[in-house]
Amino acid sequence: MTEASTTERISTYPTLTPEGIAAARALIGVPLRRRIHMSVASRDMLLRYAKAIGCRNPLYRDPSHGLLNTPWAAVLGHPTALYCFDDTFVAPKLAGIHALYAGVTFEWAYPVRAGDTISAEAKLAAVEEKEGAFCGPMALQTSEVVYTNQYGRVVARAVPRILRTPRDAARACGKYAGITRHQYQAQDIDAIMRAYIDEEVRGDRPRYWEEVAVGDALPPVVKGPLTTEDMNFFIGEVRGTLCFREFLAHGRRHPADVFKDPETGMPDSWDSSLLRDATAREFGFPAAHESGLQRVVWLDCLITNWMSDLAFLRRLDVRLVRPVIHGDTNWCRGEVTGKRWEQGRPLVDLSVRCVNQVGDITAAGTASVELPSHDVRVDPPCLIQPEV
Amino acid sequence: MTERAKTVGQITDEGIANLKARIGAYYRAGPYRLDVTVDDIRNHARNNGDWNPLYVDPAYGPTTRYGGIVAHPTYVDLILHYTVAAVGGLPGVHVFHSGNDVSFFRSVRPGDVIGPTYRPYSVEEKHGKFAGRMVHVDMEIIYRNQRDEVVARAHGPGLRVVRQQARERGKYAAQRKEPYDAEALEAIWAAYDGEEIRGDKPRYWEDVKIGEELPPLVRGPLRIVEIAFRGHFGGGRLSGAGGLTGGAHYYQFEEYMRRAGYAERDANTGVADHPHRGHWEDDFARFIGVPGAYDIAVQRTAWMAILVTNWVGDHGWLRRIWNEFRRFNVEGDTTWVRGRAVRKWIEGREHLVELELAGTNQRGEVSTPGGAWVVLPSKHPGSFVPK
Repeated sequence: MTEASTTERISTYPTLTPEGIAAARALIGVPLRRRIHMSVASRDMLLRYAKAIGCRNPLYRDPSHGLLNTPWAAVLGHPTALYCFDDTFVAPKLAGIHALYAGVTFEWAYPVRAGDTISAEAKLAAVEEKEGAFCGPMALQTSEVVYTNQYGRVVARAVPRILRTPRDAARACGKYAGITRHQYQAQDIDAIMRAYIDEEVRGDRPRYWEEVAVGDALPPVVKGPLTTEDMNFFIGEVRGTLCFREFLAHGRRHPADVFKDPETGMPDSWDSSLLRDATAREFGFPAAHESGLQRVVWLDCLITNWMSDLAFLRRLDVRLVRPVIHGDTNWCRGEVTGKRWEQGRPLVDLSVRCVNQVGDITAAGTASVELPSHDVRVDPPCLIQPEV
Repeated sequence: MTERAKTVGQITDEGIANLKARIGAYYRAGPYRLDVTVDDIRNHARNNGDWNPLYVDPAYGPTTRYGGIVAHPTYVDLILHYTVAAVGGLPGVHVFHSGNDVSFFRSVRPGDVIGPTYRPYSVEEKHGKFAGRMVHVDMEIIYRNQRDEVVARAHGPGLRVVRQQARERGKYAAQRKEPYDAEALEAIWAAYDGEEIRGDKPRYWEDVKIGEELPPLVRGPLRIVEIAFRGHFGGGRLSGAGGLTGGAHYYQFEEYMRRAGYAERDANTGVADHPHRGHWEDDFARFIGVPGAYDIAVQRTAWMAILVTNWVGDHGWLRRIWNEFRRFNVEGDTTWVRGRAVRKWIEGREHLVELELAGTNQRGEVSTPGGAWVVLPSKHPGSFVPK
């Protein structure tokens, strides 16, 4: 491709139109067809997920710890392992307009145990028109995903927020154009390795509600520098990609979704922006980037490392602020912001965030964790039986 | 510099001798996956572009002679990858998967626990245009299920290549990505539409004629996400999706700390990264002498096996498949898989047909010659087809 054609290129992707938004709104409340990636929470799948997110917590990565050493008496899934059953990427209609994960609110009622079968139902809840520096006018799709196990128990509810960003406008705006891959010195890498080695997992030493004070900091967790290998583990485990004929079938239904390599004319997947800089730039990113889901997962690691085996993550709300590109290192940090009793349960509230190697906040959120209590009249989370 | 560090990335006489000393030694072989699930069976099929209902539709299996969903034969690669990376020796010397020869004896079903047993089988020194002095290492894997039945036996030879040599010789330096026009794409898409799945209709051994051609199958143009995000193709213990390291983030550092000379540092960012990233990073592919991001070779074995399983239908059985990887299948390449019947014979109660198979790319190069043995149903009342 020559320079001239780069500057004179004709817009190839659709823009936001009132008709498109109306078509998306028409789907509000309708149960959506979802491509099933996982349905059985086998012990193997749960352990694989833990490895795919770099989780060090024996509760999730040891095939026997949860069963033999904890009162759960079961192999448990990571709270965010639910992404494997539905990645919450609910972005119906507006084909050819890029979809970005902008954040999610998870509320967990019940853990996933090895052997469970999990089904998910997804519905679009709202479509709002927004304006932003990334691409000018955009649309925000808010949805609800409900995860149910084989007994009909709702295990969790997620409210994902997906931004629909017109690709040509995002490329033209170039909000993040100045960002390049970070270059590391040997001492930077040493500091990251040191942090990996020092990663603290509370594990089987219970963290009682009474012993937590507002202002306590969570031991940080580092994730990075982000490599293609990390992306492969995560995407491959959580949702895979459309391959061969499935991709062709999708492209026939939604030709505007397909990215055409300007050099070879070869149809390629929007997913390749997670691996390749050239595709990412086409959509307005500075370089190949992380999926957005991973930052939610990293914050999940931060909290579950801290809270101990006996606790239960009740709620996590994450807002994604800046793209994370390959080579970025995210430091996940958090602190206790409140303590309370709610419906007889001892809860602590946390403020959490991901900060990259140059000090930018890439994701910020809040969380509520139910901790075990010294009060013997209060059942620990592992004994709670939610209503069906 | 330690003695060990000096030989990292080099093929030495001592290295080859050490590798030869390992022949026959059984390795500790943790399977990558502990449980076979219906999800893994379906995802494995979908990732290879297989939509045979026998492998993707749990409701279809019960209507067949299997009585339930079964995994595509090549699923065993997910239990332990066929190739030689796990044999070790020669640290920092690259491995290119150079062929496969896999025999299948029983079907794999949800709930099975498959354990692999493996060992290096042969070690030979080779010389070639690609990288000069190379070492050809063959590995044998026996896959057994929870009833101690041998499910499959695989040979997955690999070529150990000095990265620097492969780059400097530049055998593929002139190869460029080829452009696709609408017409070429239409021809490929028509071939996808024309893919024929035999299904429930028995293909009797008696009806097969020598020289008969199989309806061709196409896979391509290959995209990097189809290489990278197909999930779980092998590697360290219980590796998840992605690859040959044990996991993401921390687990990569752990691996690189444990295996000296294994990681190749990225020249720009200073970050240590996995040497198999040439599969999805063009720059690194060129660094090791490959023209661009290239496939995980077992994908091609799976495609050839799909051609066969499509053809034999639910009543037949893929007994053995073998192929050589003669050319890299790089991003953008389209592989046409063709086959024809070349031999018919009877072994005990099994009625067999030998197929000659070939994967040809859009440049007309036969990238993957091979063959297969299939067991077909026979009109003879004593005939037997494994399941």
